Amino acid sequence: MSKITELAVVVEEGRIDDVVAAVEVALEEGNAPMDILNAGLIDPINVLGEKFRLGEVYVPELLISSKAMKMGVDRIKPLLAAGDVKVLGKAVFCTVEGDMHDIGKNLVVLLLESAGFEVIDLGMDVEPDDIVEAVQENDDVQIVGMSAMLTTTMYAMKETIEALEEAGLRDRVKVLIGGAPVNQIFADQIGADGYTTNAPSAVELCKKLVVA
Amino acid sequence: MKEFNTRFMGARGVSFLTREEMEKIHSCTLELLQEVGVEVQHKGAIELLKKAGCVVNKKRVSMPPGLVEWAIKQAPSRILLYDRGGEFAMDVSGKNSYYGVGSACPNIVDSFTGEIRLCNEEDNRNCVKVADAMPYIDYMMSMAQVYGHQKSSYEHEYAAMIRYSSKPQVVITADLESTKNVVEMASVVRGGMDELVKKPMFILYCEPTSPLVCTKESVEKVMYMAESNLPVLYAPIPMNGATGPMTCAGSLIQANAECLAGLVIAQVTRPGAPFLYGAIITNMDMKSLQPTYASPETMMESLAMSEMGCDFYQLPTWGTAGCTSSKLPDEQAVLEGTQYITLAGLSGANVIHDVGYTAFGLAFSLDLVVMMNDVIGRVRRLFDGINMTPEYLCMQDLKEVGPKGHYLGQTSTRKFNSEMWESEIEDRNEYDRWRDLGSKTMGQRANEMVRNIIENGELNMLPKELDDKVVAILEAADARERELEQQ
Repeated sequence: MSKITELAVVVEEGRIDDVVAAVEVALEEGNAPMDILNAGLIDPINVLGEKFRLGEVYVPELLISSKAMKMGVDRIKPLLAAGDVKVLGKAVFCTVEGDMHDIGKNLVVLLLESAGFEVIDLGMDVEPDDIVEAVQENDDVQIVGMSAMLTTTMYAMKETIEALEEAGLRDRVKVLIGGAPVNQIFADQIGADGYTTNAPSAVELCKKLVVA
Repeated sequence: MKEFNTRFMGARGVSFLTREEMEKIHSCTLELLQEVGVEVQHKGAIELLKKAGCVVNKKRVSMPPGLVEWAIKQAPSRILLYDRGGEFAMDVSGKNSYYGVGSACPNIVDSFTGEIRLCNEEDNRNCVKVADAMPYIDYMMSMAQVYGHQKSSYEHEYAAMIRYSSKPQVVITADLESTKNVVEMASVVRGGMDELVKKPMFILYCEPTSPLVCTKESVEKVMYMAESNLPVLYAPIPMNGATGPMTCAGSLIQANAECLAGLVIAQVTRPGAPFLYGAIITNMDMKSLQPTYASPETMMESLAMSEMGCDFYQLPTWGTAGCTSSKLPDEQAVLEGTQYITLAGLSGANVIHDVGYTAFGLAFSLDLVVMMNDVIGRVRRLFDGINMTPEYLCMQDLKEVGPKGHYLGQTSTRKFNSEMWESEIEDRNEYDRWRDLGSKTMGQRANEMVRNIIENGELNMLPKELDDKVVAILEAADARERELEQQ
């Protein structure tokens, strides 16, 4: 087995204690950093992502393997040329003002990161102005994702969209919403660009939106 | 498939009788056995009982308390059962609970057409095929009665069990001859009688007739099994208000007397003979005149019998659960079956039978077996209890994650998630996924699983060489039957 294949196994099995050493062994073997990145770190995550979609592995397996992948990427990054590590897209995510229920948002963020997105996670109870500021500061952000768990807090999503419009940023980003009380009708009402019922389909939607 | 509590760690306990109440049932039983006695319809047994100190008047045998208590002490507290391949499978003792299907139902709720109709030989094979595929069904018992064989139908039922499943069995037979045929099949598979005694594969089911009659056939079978040193059970089925007193206490005393009479017969035949203690006591519904089979009273009586057997007599026990008086595998069936399975496990009954029994035994439902298999899995998980060893306290994770964090990416989450129980037929999908999969009920999913196993599953076949021998024994039994018919 080549050392890159061994690394891929380490990542797929989520062995976070072994991954850095496995990257080094692959480097010593004389492999190009780009090959290690693609075949040793990213491919196994794609394989796991497919297994997750088919219900063969669960969220914890996927997340820990992603953690392993990130540790490997951090080790190899200094050896790569700028621009070699391609991100699929960049997003800002939060749970809206007044809402302290962020586990669903966290799931989407983690799955997005596993899929190759860079995500700025603003956390929970986030005011519209903070979101506007994050979009202003990062001009490569393509997606804004918001979650709410309560019927009383979901209207903060509308306020956030209005704040983005006022700041002249609305056309620069696609806005996605999610959470137990919201639905497609609400998304249409407040002028959001997308809504899904679960985390994996949110990732699929993000992929579609950044390609479009 | 993950395994949960395959050796039950012991029931957490549910109790209907205090120690004093158990003593009361015991002393009332001794009073009944001495003063009234039982009718024993077997000359050989009567001779042995007379020698052992019983007072005999024709067929009426009065058993002295000393003999009954001697017999209780003789019987072992443990029966070990091994599967078809000779692997250890069931430690029938203490509060270990094992669940099996059963038993000998004339009709089947057809999983393809939904109709309730008479069973045939194909149903017999399909039932074994499905029950064998159920991970939480620990042992086999005949499900579909095979019609078309006046004498050898039980041999056909047993042959299907041993040919198509590796699980141990509880076996019903017609008479002594049919018992011998079954023992012969088991012993060829095991490699001889000595090996079968060393590693028993089945327990023979026998029953007295309530009230207080030890029939000739049942006594013959008990004595044959005791002589062979093979395990037997002798479970009366009094119906409160009809063949037993209306009250739970009264019928418990009668059932105890009937079961212990069988125990005495086994022990005077061979001291130390393995014997499974228990009864099915079920009140008759006085409107329909049918046994209720899973009424609260039936369950209490069943659980009280487990307590008497395990806690008072230190004998391995027979139990019932997963059955219903409903005709179809519907809401009532699931309700009755689930409650009974949970309570039977809590009571620590050892060999619990009748999973899949509908219409108080007149029909059998494989859909119900699949659903009850799931319930047994849940119960096993419950009885695993809460692991309190240091690693499971997750103190490191609690400190690492802290306020506002989450546990999704902790390695302990991945590790212990693999210990969570999962159902094969429960719906845990989010709404859209459930709708996309056809908006099905659990009953529909269970039915699909049954059909899939029947249509696409493979039979867990006995190796060819042994299978030929079993078939030869079966054919000889059929030939004897044809001879009898011609005479």
